[in-house]
Amino acid sequence: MSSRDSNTASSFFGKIRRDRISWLMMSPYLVFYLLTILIPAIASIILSFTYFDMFGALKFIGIDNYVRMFVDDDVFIIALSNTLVFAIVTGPTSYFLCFFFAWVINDLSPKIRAVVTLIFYAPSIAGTVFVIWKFILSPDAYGLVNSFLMRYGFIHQPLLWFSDPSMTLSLLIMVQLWLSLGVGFLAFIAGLQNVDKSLYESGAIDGIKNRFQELVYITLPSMRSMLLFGAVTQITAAFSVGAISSELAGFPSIDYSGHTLILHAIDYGSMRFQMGYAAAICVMLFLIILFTYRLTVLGLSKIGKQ
Amino acid sequence: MKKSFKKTTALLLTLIIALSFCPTPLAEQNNSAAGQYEYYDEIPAAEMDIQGDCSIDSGILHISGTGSVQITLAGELTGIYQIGIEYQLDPDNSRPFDVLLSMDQGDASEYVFTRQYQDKTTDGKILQDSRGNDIKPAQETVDGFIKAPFRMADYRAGEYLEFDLKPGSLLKMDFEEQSADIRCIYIFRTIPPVRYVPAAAADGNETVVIEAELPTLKSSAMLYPISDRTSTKTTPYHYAQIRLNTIGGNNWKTPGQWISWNFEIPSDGYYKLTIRAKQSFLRGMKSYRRIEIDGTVPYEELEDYEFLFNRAFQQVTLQSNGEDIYFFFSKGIHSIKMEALMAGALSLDEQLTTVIYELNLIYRQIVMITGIIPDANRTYDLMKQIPNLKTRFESIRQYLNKIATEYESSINSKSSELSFLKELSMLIERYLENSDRISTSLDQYKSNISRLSTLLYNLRQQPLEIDKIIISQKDSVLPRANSNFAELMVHELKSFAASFYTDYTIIGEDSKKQKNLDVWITAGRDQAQILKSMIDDTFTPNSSTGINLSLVQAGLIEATMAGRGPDIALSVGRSIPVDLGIRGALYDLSKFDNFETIRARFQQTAFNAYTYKGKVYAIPETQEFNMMFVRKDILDEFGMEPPQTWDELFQLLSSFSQQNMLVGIPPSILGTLLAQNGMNYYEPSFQKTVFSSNEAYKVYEEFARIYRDYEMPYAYDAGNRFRVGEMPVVIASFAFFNTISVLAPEIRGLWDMYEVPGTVKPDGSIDRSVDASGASTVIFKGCDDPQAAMEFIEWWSSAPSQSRYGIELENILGPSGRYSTANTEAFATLNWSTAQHKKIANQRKYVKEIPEVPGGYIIVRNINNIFIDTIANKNNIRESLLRYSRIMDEELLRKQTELEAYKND
Repeated sequence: MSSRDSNTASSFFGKIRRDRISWLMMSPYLVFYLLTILIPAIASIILSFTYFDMFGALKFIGIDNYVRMFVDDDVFIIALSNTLVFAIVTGPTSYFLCFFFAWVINDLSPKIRAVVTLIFYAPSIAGTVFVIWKFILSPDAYGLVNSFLMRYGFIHQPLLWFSDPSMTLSLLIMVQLWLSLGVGFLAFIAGLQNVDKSLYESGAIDGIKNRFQELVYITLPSMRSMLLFGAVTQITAAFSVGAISSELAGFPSIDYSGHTLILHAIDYGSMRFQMGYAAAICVMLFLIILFTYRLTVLGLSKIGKQ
Repeated sequence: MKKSFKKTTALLLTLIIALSFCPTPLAEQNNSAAGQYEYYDEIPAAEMDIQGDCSIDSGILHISGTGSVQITLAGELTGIYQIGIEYQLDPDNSRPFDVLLSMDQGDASEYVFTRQYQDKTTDGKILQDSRGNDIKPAQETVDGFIKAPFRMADYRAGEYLEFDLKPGSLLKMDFEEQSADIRCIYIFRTIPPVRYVPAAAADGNETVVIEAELPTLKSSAMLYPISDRTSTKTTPYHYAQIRLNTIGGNNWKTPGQWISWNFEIPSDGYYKLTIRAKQSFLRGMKSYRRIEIDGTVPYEELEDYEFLFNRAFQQVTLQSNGEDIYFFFSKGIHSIKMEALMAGALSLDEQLTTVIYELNLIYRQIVMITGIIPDANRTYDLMKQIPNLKTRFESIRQYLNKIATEYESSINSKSSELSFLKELSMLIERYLENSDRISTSLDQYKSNISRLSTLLYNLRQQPLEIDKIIISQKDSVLPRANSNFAELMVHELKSFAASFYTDYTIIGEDSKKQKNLDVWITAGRDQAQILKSMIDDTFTPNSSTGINLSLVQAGLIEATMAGRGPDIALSVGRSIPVDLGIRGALYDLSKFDNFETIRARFQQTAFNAYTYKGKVYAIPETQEFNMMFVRKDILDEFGMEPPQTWDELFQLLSSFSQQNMLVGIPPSILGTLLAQNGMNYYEPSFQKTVFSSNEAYKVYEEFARIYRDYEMPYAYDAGNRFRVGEMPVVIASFAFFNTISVLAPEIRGLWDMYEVPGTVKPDGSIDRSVDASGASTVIFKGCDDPQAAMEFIEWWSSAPSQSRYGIELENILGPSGRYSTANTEAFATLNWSTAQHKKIANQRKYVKEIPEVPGGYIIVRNINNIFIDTIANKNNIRESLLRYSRIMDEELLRKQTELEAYKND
């Protein structure tokens, strides 16, 4: 028994020894991955079972944080439902928009394609460029949209836009969609470029009648890995929306109308000094993303199969 | 030859009368620095009436507060004269000397007499740090009497003011809260300088070079040496290290600022003056300088000598009609003084001011009819509704064309402003053709006014950077003005290479002391550097502790959590001290022996935000609160006075809202209204908010009327609206005063600052309470020597330290960066005029700061929620208050139970 254990161990280390060159080459990334992602992630799972105010000692309180989340925190429920609405609307929509634009652009000549790609991708490169919406939708009577609407008599009092709880979420979704042609979009373009052209020829011989059939039977199956990559980035982006809301609608937004799970975690972590509870919220968010990811993989694996 | 030269320069002042407080001034004055007076006449003892805090002692008039001097002039003075004084200011503060002068009981005008400054250097050299970089020399005031004439209040023109004197004329000077001495009053007459007559300059090749960064005297502490790296010909030069090698630039742009240099001439002879200068700051504009040599302006040409726009340094040899001017200098010490003034642009300035005023007036009259966003579907027929609008527009159009022509001749390169002036004139022409266009393009009209104001603002700036002044004879060869291409390439390559091994981030460490304190400051680099030099000058020499100063931007809490935080943190935000304090991360400062000494330096409620359950976790640094700003000219049009009480303000609101005029009241005024009714957000126990009470409901109902009944905006850009006059009353922090005085020169004198409106109490007194905001200083529990840390705080919060910090900061940042120190004594030494300081000090008496409590974050967000719910969505106030106050009270209770349950210490 013990000899077998040491055998497997030695064979595990033996494998490492054998592949040491590969491990060496991976080590810079591995070290950073451990230090900045894996260890903090494990730490926050541990933190989520404690009360920690950043100055005192950790106090383990079991699953109190998780219980409170669903039993005694109305704002968490608001944030959860906002996040889900956000993700359900922006995730798939922007995913299909990305693909649609990539597909359309792919048919252009290379030079024009480069220019158009840049134009569509520009909002994502420019970082916090979405704050221009704050300017366009300023609640002041001189705000661009307000003054236009007032001059032509559509409204008589300036609208509050992001400060009006009934509008906040829809406006944020709109801005998010505007921004969403991100990395996924580039991956799709790359994927479309890499589809083997001869497949289209043989497809034509085999009786494909139109572009749509071509898309379903040839293009999509050939770029499944890009589709998966695009899905992962879109899901994570859709669930971890936060900066847009805090920049445009304020932090926290009026009546928490633009509050998301990430913002709820920031609220508890940095303003209320309750790190344990903030960590629990993040763990919950992680679980939701994981679940959605599995669901998406399942859906994507069906592509091209009858 | 020599004789004829002298004749033109020396007789500038033909008659000087020393109205003496001084017993025997004559001999002394002949030797005085100015040395410009030809002869004196002493007038017979004049009648003098001295009142208030003024007294005469051994020939000197002492002013120590508020008072006045009235002088009846004796018989022989008749005609036009100029007047000057010889004064000396209190060295303990930085404020200039304000004199209200009136003649023959007419209206008094305010005149400002400045201090003189010099660099604090050892044997006239700029010191270097251990890395070989130049250190900016501190600026110190020069003690002693200064002679200066009465000049136009903002020094726009070079000439001295003229007074029409008769026998028995009354000359009255009023002083308000001043601290100064006057030795003499001069009454004199000048003859304007003549034009230069070419002199046959003798040969010679002597050259004297003055490095401009080291002047003898200057009028403002902002005129410190600065660093230029644009040219290798700027002296001294180094490719990587910092060399303070020029002076002026954007710091030398305000009319009235002057710099003077002394220099030594090796032998008698004729010399020309060459100034290596650069005006690259305002595109297409000229900068004017008045140049005095040995105390007088020798030739008319030098009254307003112009420096043209150019991106590179120019070597400007002073010329007359294209010929170099030769000055005669005898062997020995001479002086040259250059003063910024806007003489050349003066008439343009006046015309622009008039046009902007008229355009603004018309704008307000239009807005009163149409509102700020006119309805595009409506015909207003403004030409009929506003009296004489057609003729007024017509004359504005002509005026604008005239300004455009004049402006074109006053600039030296193409400027976009010129085409803009023409565009504006065309816009008005279109209005004249069809008046319906006015209401459809009102925002264009308004943005044109603000561009016009920017043009005026730029016109008043006279920036000029000087590297050196070369005084040379006919045969001497001048150095080349700028680097050639090869030199520039070498310079760029060397400094690029140097950028890899030069560290630009270290502020200062102290290794000489046994024990050191780590101090973190969350501010800009300028602030950190001022603090560092203050620590070196006045803290470490008297203390056994050294200070390691670091400049940080964020991460205070994280660093403390990781055990790598500082001992002391400066400029800490409002809610942090109590939040960290109750979790055991900060020292309770009230336990220290010197706490009571420190407490006495501040307004009595200044500690409210840093105190919880009797423990004090921070010492205040800054304190800012609201004041009211009023456009007096517009209130006059309405026949109204600045409101003193909320009742008066509501009356004003009701007549303003009928006329489409606005009042800028920020929603944060709720704190002020609660304070004036004896409340703040919390019940005295801090476990509950007041919002469910009936008293708070009444206050909130009144507050809501501002926005609900009078429809005043709650999101607005106060500066611009105040400037154009659509928002003639604004409540904002007192810092707004400096913003407006710097950025809106066209409304100078038309507005003023007042205390915020108050609530009338049953006994008839007015309660003007306001809340305040600010930053503070804390000591962390990780500090090993809290006693030494508290000594540092005692030093830092003391009046001399805060005063010096504030003055030096303003020297660098200008008036808009004025420091709002919480130390009341230090605040009085900052550059506020007496009248303004009095109002701020009066308002400060009423400050009632709102306490910070654990869970306080829930208040701000829910007050916002209530605001949107009741004001934007017009829901029932009482219901809304009850609903949200329950949320707030629950969170406060929850937080306090939580803190009790998980107590750290």
